[in-house]
Amino acid sequence: MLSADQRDRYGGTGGGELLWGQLAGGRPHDLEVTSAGSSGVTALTLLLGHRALVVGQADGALGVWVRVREGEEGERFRLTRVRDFAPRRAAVHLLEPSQRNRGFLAHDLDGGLGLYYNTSHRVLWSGTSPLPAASAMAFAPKGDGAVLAGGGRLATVAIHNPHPEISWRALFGRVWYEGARQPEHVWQSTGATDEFESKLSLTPLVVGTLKGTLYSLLLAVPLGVFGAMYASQFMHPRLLGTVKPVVEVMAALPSVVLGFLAGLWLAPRLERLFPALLLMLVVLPASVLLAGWLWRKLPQRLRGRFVTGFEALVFVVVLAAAAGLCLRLSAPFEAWAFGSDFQAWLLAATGLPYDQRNAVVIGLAMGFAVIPIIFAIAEDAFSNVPRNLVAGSLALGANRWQTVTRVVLPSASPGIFSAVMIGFGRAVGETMIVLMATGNTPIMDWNPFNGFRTLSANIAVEIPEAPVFSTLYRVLFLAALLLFALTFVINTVAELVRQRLRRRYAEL
Amino acid sequence: MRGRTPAQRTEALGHALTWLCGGALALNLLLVVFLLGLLAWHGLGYFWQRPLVAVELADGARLLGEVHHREAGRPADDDGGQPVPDRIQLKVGNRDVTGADFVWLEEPGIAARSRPAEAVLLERLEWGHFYGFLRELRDGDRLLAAGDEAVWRELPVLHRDKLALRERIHELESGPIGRINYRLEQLRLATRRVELEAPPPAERERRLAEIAADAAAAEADYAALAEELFALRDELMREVVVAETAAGRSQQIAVGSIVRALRPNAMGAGDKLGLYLSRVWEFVSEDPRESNTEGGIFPAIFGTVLMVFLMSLAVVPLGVLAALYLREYARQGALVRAVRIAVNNLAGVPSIVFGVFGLGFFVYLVGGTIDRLFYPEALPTPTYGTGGILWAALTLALLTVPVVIVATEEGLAAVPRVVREGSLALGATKLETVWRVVLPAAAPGILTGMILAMARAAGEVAPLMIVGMVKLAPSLPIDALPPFLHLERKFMHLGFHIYDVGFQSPNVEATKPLVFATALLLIAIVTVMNLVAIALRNHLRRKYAGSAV
Repeated sequence: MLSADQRDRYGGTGGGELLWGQLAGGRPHDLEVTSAGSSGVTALTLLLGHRALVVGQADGALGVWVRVREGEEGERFRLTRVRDFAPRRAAVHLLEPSQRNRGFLAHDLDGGLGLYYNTSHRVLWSGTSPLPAASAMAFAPKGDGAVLAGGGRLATVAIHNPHPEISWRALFGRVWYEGARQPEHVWQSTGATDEFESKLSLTPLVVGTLKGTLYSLLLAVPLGVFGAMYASQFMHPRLLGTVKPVVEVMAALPSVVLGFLAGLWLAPRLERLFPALLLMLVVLPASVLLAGWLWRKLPQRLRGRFVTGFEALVFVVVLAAAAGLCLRLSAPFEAWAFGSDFQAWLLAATGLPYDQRNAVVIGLAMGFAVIPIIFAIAEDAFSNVPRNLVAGSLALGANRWQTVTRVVLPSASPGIFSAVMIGFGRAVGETMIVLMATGNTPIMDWNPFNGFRTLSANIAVEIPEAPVFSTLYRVLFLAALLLFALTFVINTVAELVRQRLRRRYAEL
Repeated sequence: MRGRTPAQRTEALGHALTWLCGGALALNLLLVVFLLGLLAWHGLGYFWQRPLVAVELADGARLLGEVHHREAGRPADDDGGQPVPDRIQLKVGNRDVTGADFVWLEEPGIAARSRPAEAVLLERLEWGHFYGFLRELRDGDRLLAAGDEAVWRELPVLHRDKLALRERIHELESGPIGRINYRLEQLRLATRRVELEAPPPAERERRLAEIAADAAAAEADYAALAEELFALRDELMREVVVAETAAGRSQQIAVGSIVRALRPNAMGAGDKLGLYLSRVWEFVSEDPRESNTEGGIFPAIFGTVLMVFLMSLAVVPLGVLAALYLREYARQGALVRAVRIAVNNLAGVPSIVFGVFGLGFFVYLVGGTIDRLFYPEALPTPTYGTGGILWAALTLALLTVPVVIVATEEGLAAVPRVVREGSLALGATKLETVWRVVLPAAAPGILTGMILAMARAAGEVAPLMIVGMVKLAPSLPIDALPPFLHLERKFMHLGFHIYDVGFQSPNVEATKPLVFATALLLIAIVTVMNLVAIALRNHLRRKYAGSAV
């Protein structure tokens, strides 16, 4: 048989062999022979898109074959069996593809009829044929019915299957798509033509969500928790009264503004000045230690004029200066450590390409959005530790730091746990920042230097274009349900932990 | 560290770690300050007029524009890296002539630069800025003025007339012509309705004839008005300025299409300040031009305010009643605990999920039903069955209800028990006590919750992208046509404007300053609201400090 685009020809033999050859350039190439087992080939059909060949055999076997690229450059093709359906009871003698999707009907000599779907690997229906002696079969153009004919009679079958392309395997498992080299997770919901095979795997999106969350928590957890610890334990209440509103304002900053800054301001600068960020990782803590040490060297008389915790405000200035220094030193540092170009070095040393909008940008921007949430809850947990515990510890001769780490931190740890959980929940659902500051490419890996696509951004991008009640529309609702379930569980756990903690404090 | 006891050493370590914690806090503060400063710097700088610089390149080419950006280069290094020269980014405008607003120039390639006093900047309704020199003022073949100074003297007088004319055209378009369009649309729907109702043939004929007569009258009115409009438009475009670009190309610009004519290099500080304020005012009060890349953002401000207002109408009663029940009436047990957890959960649900819910429930289910019941004549064009300001407001109300509940509960908890008991002892019923005594005392708490909810709603974008925002709304949700408040209309929103202009615009480089200004405005609104709410809450806490239940 000839494919509808007249580029391939296929054939089968009674000895169970499949023949395939290209017709490129207007001239038939040599036929390749592949064995499909010992049982003879009894029916062949090409599914929509002219790529997937359904093969029915005399023993009832039903398989899907696709020509798969082989070799280094993908220059050769080989006809490969990518999928097997449960065999029918007798020889498959009629196969009919749907004109709308990757579904097909199979009729066997035992009078059985089955409706299958290729991509999702589903047997949609299987039963007895209304016309056991059928000798011809056709799908209705809309895919809502089929006509069987044989022995001078006609029979019709009504078909109602609105979402055949979805199965658990299609949503979360690896699927061998047409034209792919091996089974993989892909999200690609729409293509240029109607013959496009939708690839609706949610796995890359889930991975993207977790990736963005992970990188942002890497920044937010230490800054939020330790900042809150310092604010509640080492700061004078009057100073705390001015610091807390600043953090609340931070929490109120609209994420669209953060996303805009991350995507259009930070990302291009970070691309040029990435070495400065690496420098800051070392220089900023060092500068704080140095400043703290100098602060202690100040005469007691001078220090006594300021309330406790004032040094944090001094650190703000010190950090600003140190960060400025890092930016200045970026180019020399880059030349010294990476041989003039960080991106070239990265590609050469690790093979990772550098995208402008990447996970590091997200980590910084979304981390910024999550810090105040973690800070607020952790601060609450720290400052609600009963005062008599602290007083007791200090009275027994422990110093301030020992009291904080050995007494306050353990008793507040459930609160900190719930702070991290709620921060996690916020990062998982954050939409605008990831939408604007990642390339929204549904790639699945953990490389910090390329983009990704999250569940939330995916919904925002695709739902305005999804036809109402279509499969894509419902899959996007499923993604929303997934997000909801995830945050629901996390928040409930965090809230239960907090309530228990509050009761325990009340008892003390 | 030599010569120290272990205790001293642990103390020193403790100090070091304490400083690191302090550093974490300081970094948080620094980030906030830096971010606000960055936005203020870029956002406020947008309105400031920079001098026009005439540049002559080594190859003889001449350019005129504003220096937008400088970038330091890099010297050659040992490994054979090529040296990168310093660069400047020049905004050269004249999009209709050159095709691009910006050019990058390498410093070594610049032979000479000057600031000619007679260089003009013409802000135009279309094609962005024009930078160049005035040559002539013409009315068709008639020369009105020739030469730089003469044109500069004549132009303002003529321009003032044209501005008045533009105002008249605008009034005509939005007033009488808008009303006729509305009437025609109503008549079209009336025709549909007659067809749907399918009355007896005689009545049907009669009603259709009536409608046709009305429509004919409206069409006639329209034709007359359209003629007037075309005449005015011709008048507006009659006189042209002939100007020359720095490269010497002559360009004709209709006086009626000029927004502002400036000679930035001849302006004093006072003039510049006046220009600055006038630009700020234009930004907040005018409609956008050139697919949102120029002009003002008034519709976005209006849409945001109206949506937030509608949302508070929905969320305040709901939240306050829920909080009243939880705090004053419900027995504190497992059920109330479950409700509290649910409320907290609601606060943690991603906003995009609310958007999806709003789309499925409000837009398609409720809106679709309303359309089928009340607006069958307009179908298949949806009236309420598509995103609109009402659905956006209700979706955000769901999103912000936990904020109101939590703040109201705090306000209620702060009302001292003696106040309640006093009221009850004087014979007031429970309802009277709650309504007359407790609620007024908790008003600051409720207000705090409302303001926080409004601030959250003003900044939230993700759910609105799904349930009702558009990049450019043709008409505001409130206008002079009945029923005056159009709840079904799509609207513009500050936050979405940032996303749209910043990321979907064809000319991102040119619009970035405008996005910064919009972001600054949004941040200012949200921050001020939050600070007010925080101040209110602290006031409440102090007032009842120590006397809480």
